[in-house]
Amino acid sequence: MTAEAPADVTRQDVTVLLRAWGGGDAVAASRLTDIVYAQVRAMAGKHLRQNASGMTLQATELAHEMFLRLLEAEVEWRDRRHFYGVVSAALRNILIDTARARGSEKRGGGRAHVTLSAAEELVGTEGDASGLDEALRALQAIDERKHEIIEYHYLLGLKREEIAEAIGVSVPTVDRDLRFAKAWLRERLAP
Amino acid sequence: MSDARWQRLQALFDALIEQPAATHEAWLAANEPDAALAAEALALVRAHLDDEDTDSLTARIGSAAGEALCEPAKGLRLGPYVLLEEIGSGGMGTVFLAERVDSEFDHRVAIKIIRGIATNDASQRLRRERQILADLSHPNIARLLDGGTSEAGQPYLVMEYIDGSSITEHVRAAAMPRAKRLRLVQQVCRAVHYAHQRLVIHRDLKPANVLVRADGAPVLLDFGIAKLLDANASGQHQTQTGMPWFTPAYASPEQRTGQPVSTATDIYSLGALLFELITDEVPRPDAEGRIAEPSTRRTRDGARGGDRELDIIVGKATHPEPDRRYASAEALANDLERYLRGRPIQAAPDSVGYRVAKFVRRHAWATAATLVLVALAGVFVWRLAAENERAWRAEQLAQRESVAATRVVDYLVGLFDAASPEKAGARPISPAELVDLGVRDLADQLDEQPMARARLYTALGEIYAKIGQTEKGIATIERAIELQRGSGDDVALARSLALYGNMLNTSNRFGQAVEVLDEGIALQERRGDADPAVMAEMLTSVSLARGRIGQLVAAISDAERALTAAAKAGDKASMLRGEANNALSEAYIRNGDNARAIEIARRNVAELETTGPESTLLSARTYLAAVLAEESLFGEAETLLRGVLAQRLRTLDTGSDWVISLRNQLAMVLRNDGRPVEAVAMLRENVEAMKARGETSTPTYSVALNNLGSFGEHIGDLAFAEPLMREALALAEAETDPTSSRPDIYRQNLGRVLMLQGEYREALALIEREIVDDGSEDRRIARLRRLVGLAEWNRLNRRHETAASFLDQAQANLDANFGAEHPRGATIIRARALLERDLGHLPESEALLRRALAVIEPSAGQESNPVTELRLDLADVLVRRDQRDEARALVERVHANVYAKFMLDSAPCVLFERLAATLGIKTALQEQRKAA
Repeated sequence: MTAEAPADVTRQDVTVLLRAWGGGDAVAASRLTDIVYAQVRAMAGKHLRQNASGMTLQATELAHEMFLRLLEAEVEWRDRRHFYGVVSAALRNILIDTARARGSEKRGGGRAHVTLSAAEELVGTEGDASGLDEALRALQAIDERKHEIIEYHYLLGLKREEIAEAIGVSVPTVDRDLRFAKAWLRERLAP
Repeated sequence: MSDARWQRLQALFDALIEQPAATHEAWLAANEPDAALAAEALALVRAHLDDEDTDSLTARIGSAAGEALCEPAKGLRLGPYVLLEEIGSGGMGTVFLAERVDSEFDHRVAIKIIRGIATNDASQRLRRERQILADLSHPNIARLLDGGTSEAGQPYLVMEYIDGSSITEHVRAAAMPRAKRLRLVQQVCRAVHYAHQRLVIHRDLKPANVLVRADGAPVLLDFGIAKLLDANASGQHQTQTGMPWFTPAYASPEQRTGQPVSTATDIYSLGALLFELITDEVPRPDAEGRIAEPSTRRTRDGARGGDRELDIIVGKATHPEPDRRYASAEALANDLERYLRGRPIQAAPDSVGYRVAKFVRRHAWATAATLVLVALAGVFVWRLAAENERAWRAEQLAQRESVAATRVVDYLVGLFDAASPEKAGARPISPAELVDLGVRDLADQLDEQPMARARLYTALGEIYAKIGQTEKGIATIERAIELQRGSGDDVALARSLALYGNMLNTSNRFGQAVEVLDEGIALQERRGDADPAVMAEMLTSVSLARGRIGQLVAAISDAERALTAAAKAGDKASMLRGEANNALSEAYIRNGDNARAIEIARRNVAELETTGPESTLLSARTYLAAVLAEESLFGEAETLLRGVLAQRLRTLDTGSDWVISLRNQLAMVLRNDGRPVEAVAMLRENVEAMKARGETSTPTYSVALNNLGSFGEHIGDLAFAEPLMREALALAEAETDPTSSRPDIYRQNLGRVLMLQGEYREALALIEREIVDDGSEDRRIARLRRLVGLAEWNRLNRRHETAASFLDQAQANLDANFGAEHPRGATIIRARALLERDLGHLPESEALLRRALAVIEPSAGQESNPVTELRLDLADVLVRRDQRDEARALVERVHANVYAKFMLDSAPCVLFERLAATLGIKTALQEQRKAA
């Protein structure tokens, strides 16, 4: 049962690791990250969809499948939050990796600007997704919780109730934060 | 921004969006003295109002990544290659000129990057097929050199780079005379024939895929690539047809209508190409696929497009019915040769049509077999066509039909035999699909040829067995035997019975297997000239079957006879010897002589490593692992099994019987090695694989369910175990094999799980049912478990005297059947200890628990679950006797194992937590609950 063979990983393993992590076991944390990362990689292909504009990675569906596969229903909220954090990091990384590969093809290297990219309606002008990444980093620096909520909502597709439970705030607070963070990002990205 | 400002900003924002937009500025002026902050709040609210409903962010995440995946560009590195420039692009992908970066000399290749992302399954298929194409080595075929998947997950193929122009451009530019053009087509035909002989069809022959190099040699590109793309794009279904990839002007009617493609498909395209080279005109087939006669066309220089004979050649090559075309590309090349030399061509339309019709009428059976094959896989048609030609000659020689019949059947056997993953693992077909179609079509054909039909059933049944689809194999071979019984064809019947017995064994139907095999052996013995190979096979199978149903002495003597027969079996000797040795070793182990069994198994593996066919070697290793596990040599057993599993998975599907039984065995080893959680995961994979295959009513499936359930019980997950055991029992009870001991075993299993959950009424009905003593070990164990189960039931229901009496019976049973020192005795001792405890006889209970531990520790291991449970029982009694120090030591001793090897809500876990709380031991679970 190694990260190289994600099919063998059971939800019980993940629960055990999460529990160990919760208890401060750093090895468990990195082990879990390996597993999640391998799973995301293994599953990414399946969640690529062909549509009119090309291929799209259905990150949200992927995240849901990850949860189904790896998360036991009775995992405690604290562990759940750890898990969400790891999954969104893995998703973000895989998006960046692919975009970086593309960047090196097209522009002879250079920093890739993706994360929550291609959000043209946020960005304003098509193709210039570079700002979104920066805006998200800025948001994270000012208000980590809002950044986390944005990621859980957009990247993982979590429901408001799930976000509320995971980070330990009320649902109206999630709504408020989400509304505010969205407006803030949009305003910042406006041309 | 400071925290305070940030919060203030959000407060302003929240307040503003509750108000009408028109009042915003006024409200801010009244409420926010800081003008900068007010402006910022206003901007935020505008951003919010601007775009409240466009929320497609989620759906669009990652589209940049997706684009990157489908748009490779030059400069990109793929493995050791770097892309230089795009040289073509089409529906299937983009072609680049590329070169090896690690090569000193100029080594240029063409790389085709296939659109879309391969699923795991598709990439595996792609890899397999690529291997076949890579083996095509012909001067007129561009080689497939390599292939792989880019980092972004896109499959690509590396091909020999051909610097040349398309055949049509080449002949036009060179203003080549017709005779030379026909010579070129001939060369192309011979290259196509070469590939057909290797069972590869091009599927997309057209001018763009036939380049002519500067030296004048034609080179075929993309051989078999269309199939690869199919394999990449979709499931196996479509690989049978050529649907997605073809070029209309050169595509055969069967391709356009999505029928299975065959070598005849390529012949059609060759005919179309021939037409174009004769007339300088792109062919325009009519609705039926007919192409105009070249002589009705004018070439560019105004000359007539050929003569009557070329009309006939093109007409025959492009006939709408695949069967009426040239039998092979070589035959087309040969007719062109005759034409060029001015000799009469073979394709005289009337006579050929006539002859074909006549052939079909006179050989309805052979044609039927042909149709089966065509439906099965066009890939093989060339061979059959060759076979047809031979049959046709046979007709001229007035040979008897039966001779040809036998040949077709033998041919079929050889064909499928070669397609079995065991032998090849890499043919461009899916064997399972092939056989399914074969069996289905056979049902209403060859009515007047029952023997031919029976032999086909036997052959197809054998293939099912080879690809691990035992149940289908059994159903198929039963049809063969039905036809063969009483037909007088004893040789065929014996062979079918041997196969049948073998499959029944695989399917765990041992009683039935013994019956069938005894019949086969008797049949062989009655004949003077019994085939030693078939004899050895049957004796080995019957030995295994007898061993499983407790006929142990006979099992040893059968295996020894099998060894003798195997020695006379010629080139099959080492394989049959290997199998007989396994059987012999198994017979010894069932007789309790483990040392002898291990010795035989080790020697067998060593022998096969030098002589043996690989598949026999793998079985021998698997078997050796089983014997080693019996002797608790788990490490060695696990290594062997994992090796064999990896090897098998190279050619077999994850749901095939062999893979499933390997995983079962591995799970057993893992469990006994104290890794129950890993074992459960492994078994779960099995159950899922069988479900995916739709085999949910077979004995093998019930065994898998029961195993998974038992393992669930082992880690204390009763709620998980119960439904699995219920389903397993229902399936076992529906079985018709009266010798099967499964219903008895499964009733005990389910009864026990129900009892442990407090479902006493239903549990009792299952546990108390009588079990006949038929001498088999399985039933002897079940009888002992029944007595212990009844004792436990009565103890739990506070009928202490009855419980004690059942324990006495159980002990007597153990002494008589297993010997007093048998590890199974530990369950009796434990049950008695718990009874004494319940009666308040604590010192007696303590002594008994210590004895139970002493009995079970050596065989189960210090860290095993039964030992952990007994330690907890002992600690419990010690606490009641106020011997807290030893109790504490025991509880601490099992701490890690309880968490690692039991479910958190299992009885042992609950007992552990209770004891720990009493003794003041901090547990991980308590800590966690506190923290939460």
